[in-house]
Amino acid sequence: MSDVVLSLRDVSRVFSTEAEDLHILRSVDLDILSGRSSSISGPSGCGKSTLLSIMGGLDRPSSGTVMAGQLDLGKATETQLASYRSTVIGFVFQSHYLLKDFTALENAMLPAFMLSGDRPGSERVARELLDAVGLSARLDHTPARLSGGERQRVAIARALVNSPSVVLADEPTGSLDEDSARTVEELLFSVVAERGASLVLVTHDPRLAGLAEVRYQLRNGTLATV
Amino acid sequence: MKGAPVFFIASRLIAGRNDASGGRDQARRALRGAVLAIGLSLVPLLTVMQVADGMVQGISARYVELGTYHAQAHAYSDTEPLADARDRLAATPGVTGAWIESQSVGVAFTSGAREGAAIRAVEQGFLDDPGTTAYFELEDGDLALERANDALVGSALAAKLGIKSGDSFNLITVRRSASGEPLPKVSILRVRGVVSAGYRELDSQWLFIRQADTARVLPRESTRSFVGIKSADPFGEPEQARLLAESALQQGYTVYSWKRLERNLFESLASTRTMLLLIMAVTVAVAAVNVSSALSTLVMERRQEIAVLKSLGARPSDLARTFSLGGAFLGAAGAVLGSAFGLLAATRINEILRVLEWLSNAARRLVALLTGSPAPAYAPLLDPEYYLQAIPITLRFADVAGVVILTVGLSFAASFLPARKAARLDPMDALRRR
Ligand SMILES: Nc1ncnc2c1ncn2[C@@H]1O[C@H](COP(=O)(O)OP(=O)(O)O)[C@@H](O)[C@H]1O
Ligand SMILES: [Mg+2]
Repeated sequence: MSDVVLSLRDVSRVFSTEAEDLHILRSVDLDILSGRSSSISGPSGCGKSTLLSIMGGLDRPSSGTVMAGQLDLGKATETQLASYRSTVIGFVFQSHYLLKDFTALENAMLPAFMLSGDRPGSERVARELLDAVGLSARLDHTPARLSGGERQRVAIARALVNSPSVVLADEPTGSLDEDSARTVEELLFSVVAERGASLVLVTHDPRLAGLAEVRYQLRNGTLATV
Repeated sequence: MKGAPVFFIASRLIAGRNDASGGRDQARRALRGAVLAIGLSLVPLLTVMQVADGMVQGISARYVELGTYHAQAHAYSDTEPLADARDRLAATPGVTGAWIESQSVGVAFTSGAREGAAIRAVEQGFLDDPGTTAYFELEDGDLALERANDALVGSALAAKLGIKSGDSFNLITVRRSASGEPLPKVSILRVRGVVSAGYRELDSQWLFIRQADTARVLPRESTRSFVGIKSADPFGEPEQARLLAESALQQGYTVYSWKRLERNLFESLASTRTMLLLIMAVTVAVAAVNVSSALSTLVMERRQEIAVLKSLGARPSDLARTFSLGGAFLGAAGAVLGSAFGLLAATRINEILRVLEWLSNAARRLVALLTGSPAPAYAPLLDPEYYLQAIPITLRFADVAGVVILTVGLSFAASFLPARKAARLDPMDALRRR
């Protein structure tokens, strides 16, 4: 039986606007198992990104608990959350969100360099990952000189550079054409699996969702297994 | 975050990369503007700093070499005649020269004009001294007083009187009779040379005659005589001449160093310099505000990148440090730029003033031409009454280093607000907005 790396219990998230309170998540229960892949689907605006942000320690639940090992994300300090994001989580967003003044290699090694302060060591790991996603010939290119698919592959390398337990991917192929999307999703699954990390994939593409071992559907703020 | 990644991220965010996508890069332009503003604000500061030092030194060197000597020995009793004291001082090791000077006042007049004059009866040895000749500019004739009633006249005084070398003029001095009645005495002097100390205030007053003519020309009651002494290094060791003279003379003489004699001049020059520098330092502080606004623009423009850094594990304090360091970088860049141009401007100040003078006169002539009014006379830009005709420069690198540190410090302080903005930025908010 696999270990639970991330556990959500009765999680809700309410956004208070001037007009009303938006109950985006209501009583979500979710266990992310070590090394497994999961997908979360649902209509646009249903709260998929919100859920992912809570899991990634970028946002806090309005109620309920999110446990990562011994760390209660809802009660953690900013510093604890920063450390959690850097060591436990790897993010891949829909938009690549690479830093434009940094090369592919620099972008990919940055989380490791920020964590350790050891630039050669960080670059070595980043180089291996960029090699794994097929970008060894693009190390010195800035994002402006990479294609959409290549940028997303750099983002995947960056997400994995600190050997996270969980990779959170929010519609990682949503803005790519068919061919690049295929390449990127194959790489995402294979590279994450090779490194033994769990993958949580948000998508509204049923085909992509079907590739995951566990599939969830988010509707009306609650999560259901498909 | 350790120092190395903070340094890396800050330098890359500030300097950017040529091959990054340009897009709407307002911030980069604002950053360049901030560096330029700091650089420009330093130019007058450094220029005034260096030129003021040069002026103070230049003015005091002229006053000391041509006016006060390095020290003066005044007799307060008759224990030893001045000539004996002079000979003894001149023979003292370390003393490079000692001469008697007598000073009084009079009125010089020609058929057309009359002017008050500060009369200095000096010895030829003083005129031949290398320190004297280094600062005296001979505009006309010879720097010599050989025959009776020879005179050297300050250039501005000569101009007012309308005389040149070879001309004769009258000098009136006033003595008092036994009963206290004023008795004017007229001497006819011949101009041997027209001299300039480079300083208008001196050139409009000084009238040199032979020391040997003192008794004949100057009124005994209103003449004071002393021994002027020069030594090797008056600025490095300002008290040396006084100390040497004091030990050589012992009784009956009071010796004053040039610092003491020129204290008023020195203090007023120093306080003027301090005032100017304070005003200029304020302009640097104002320029540092540009760093604050340029960094704020950068934070606004890169809110997504800041949010991404946070999602990658950067703490609020890491981002604050990154942007504060960025501010210091901007200050350093501005300081380097400003120092380069400031020092260049300082070493070329005489040329710059001359170009400005030429330009302003050309403009005035052009205006006159266009309006049809008569051509104006050539006007010097700076009234030499207040400035040296040629401004000497000294570069003190400790001062420049101080300015650089001040600039970097101010820029660092100015980055406090944008750094806090970056630290407090909500990553969710920035990432959701696209
Ligand atoms: N900070 C916020 N304040 C108010 N509403 C928000 C906020 N963040 C998200 N929302 C709303 O919550 C809903 C879910 O957003 P999101 O999680 O991005 O949906 P999804 O990723 O499934 O498309 C949307 O209607 C969105 O407008
Ligand atoms: Mg979304």
